[in-house]
Amino acid sequence: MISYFLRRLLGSIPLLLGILTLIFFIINIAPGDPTARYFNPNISPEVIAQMRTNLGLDQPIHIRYFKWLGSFAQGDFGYSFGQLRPISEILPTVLWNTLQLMIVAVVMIFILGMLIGIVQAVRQYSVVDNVLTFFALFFYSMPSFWLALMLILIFSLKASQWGWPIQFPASQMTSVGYEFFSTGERITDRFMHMILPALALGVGGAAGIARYMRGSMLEVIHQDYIRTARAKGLSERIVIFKHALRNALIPIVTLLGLYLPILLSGSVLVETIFAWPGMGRLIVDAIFQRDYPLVMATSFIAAGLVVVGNLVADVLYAVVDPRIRTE
Amino acid sequence: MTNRHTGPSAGASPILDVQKLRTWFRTDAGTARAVDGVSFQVRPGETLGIVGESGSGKSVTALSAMRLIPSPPGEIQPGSRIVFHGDRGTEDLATASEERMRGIRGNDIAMIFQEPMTSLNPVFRIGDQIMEPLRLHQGLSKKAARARAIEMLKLVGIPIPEQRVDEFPHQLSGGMRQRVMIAIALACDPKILIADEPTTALDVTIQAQILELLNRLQNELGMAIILITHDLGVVAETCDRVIVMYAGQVFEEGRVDDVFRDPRNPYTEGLLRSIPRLGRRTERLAVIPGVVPNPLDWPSGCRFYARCPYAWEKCLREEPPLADLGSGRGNKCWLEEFPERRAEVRARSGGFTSEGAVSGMDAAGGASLAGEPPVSPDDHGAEGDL
Repeated sequence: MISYFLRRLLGSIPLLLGILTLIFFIINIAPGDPTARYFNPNISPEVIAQMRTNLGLDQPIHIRYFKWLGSFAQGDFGYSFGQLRPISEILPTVLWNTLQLMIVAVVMIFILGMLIGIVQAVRQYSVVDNVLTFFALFFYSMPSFWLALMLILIFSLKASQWGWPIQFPASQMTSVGYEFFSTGERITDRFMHMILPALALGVGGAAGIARYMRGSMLEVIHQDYIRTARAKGLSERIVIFKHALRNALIPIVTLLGLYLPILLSGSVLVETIFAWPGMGRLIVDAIFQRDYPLVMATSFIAAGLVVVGNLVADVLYAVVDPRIRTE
Repeated sequence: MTNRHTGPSAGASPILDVQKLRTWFRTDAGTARAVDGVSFQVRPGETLGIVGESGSGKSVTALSAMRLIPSPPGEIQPGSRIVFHGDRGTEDLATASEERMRGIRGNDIAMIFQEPMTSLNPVFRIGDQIMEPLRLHQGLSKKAARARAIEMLKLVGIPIPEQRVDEFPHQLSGGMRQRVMIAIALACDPKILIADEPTTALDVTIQAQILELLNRLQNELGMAIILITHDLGVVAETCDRVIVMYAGQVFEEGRVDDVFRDPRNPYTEGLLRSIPRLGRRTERLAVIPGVVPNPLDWPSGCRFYARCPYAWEKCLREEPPLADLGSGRGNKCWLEEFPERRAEVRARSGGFTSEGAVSGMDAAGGASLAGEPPVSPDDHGAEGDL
């Protein structure tokens, strides 16, 4: 088992290298230049040329590639052209901010989605099932940026205009004056800032999981071993939540790994709308500024997340299905 | 089973008394009357066989006794009685609360199913699956339940039970899994074991082992067995009494020896005549022409009319009663009142013949009795698959 995952991990190295090489050449060949934002009638072309030399952009692309690869292999992400500081200084905070959002969204997606799916499967074709199906399809179809705007409109703007008892902040991770809050106030403040972006990021996914879960659960409920469980005299609660759920989970956990990259791309829009200082925004800014080292560093994180996500899915798959475990 | 020659005392009061059981399914196409007025009794320690073709309602009868009919669409109709004489006195399971039924299932009445490959939950260890009813009904501790599970595995003849107890179902063969199913069913020492085609999905050699096992366990534990099968050979070998079901009704009942020696009902006769026998040279086997009618629309009169070589217009118009022939023997046929008809048809060399099969032996090979309904209603005859 362990050797299998080590092999998988080693096997993902060439994959990552391929992805990063491709991105390196695409972003470097793309029109535009990191020095473009300094173009100005008052700055002479010689100065610009000097800047390009300083950044190493005057060298041919293959030389730059191998230089980047060399330092990257040593764990050196380099220096951000846009923010003018080492990337190793920027990345940890930003990554952690995004991970917080993603973890909350993933937990919400799976708990909410699975519960809805189970209810729908157990009450197949009932009014509850039909109503939930309608809402699931609605939220599944709505783009996350529209949802984000609607959430801000209703729960932040209108809530304060109409004087609702609960109002959610529309942007940032913390309120003004956060540094002077007590610990309890800080936790509440963080939590309130988290809810709307996590909802916007996760509701579509939760609706999708609910659909998968309903289908998976319906299939399992009609299996012979469910009849066996009932024939033992077990209560319906144990039949559904123990015997049926454990089997219905098998196809669902695989989706967990696939949802990580989907959430990362979703966070680009959601973080922009909620002014959330995370990876999503960082990637967009880096690309627009042609901040090559930062683009490579963030791409590496994103690709790494996909690989890790798939590995996590495989581990979970083996955890829930003993038939996989023994092989 | 083995005591069938001495027989369970005929006078013993039944432990299960099913009266006029009707289980109907409401579908978009109409109401399917899958079980339509079935009565039978099971006495302590005896083995009752229920035989019939696919679609005759035998499995639905068994599931009804456990109240495991999925509802909707299935429903046990008012007026049906499933009288169980257990530790708590006499109860009618047809109207018992769901909570009471949960106390009976797996504890007083247990069941094993046709498909051992899919009847065990693939994600739980077999030990846990055996321990579940023990912990539920007998309130055993984890340790005690585990010890009992190992004991049960040993009882059903699984080698190295201490090791097997921690294995998953996919690590066991089909026969082993059916043994585990039997261990689960018998863990709480039930009074009745319902076995719904327990050997149909198994190899012939394994079939014999499983029947042998059930036989031995009945002697050791003394439970009554209701054995549902389409295999007349299994009935002959294992049962004390048999009821023959057709189209949701009991057509004939009686002691196995009596029924096999002298089948009174034309349907039973047809079933027995369609079995090949060793040492008897026959050109072709007899067949019962046609298929079981549609439960959405049972024919009026006798439901076997269209397939019966003895039928005449009385059978088309009026449904025969289940005539009581004494000593537990019953036959639902007008021939009991008009015995001259049987002789008359036989004199014309009628009765069941191989001519019933339109497309001959090969087509009839594994058709009706074996399991799936035949492809086309007028193509195949029904034929025993022994």
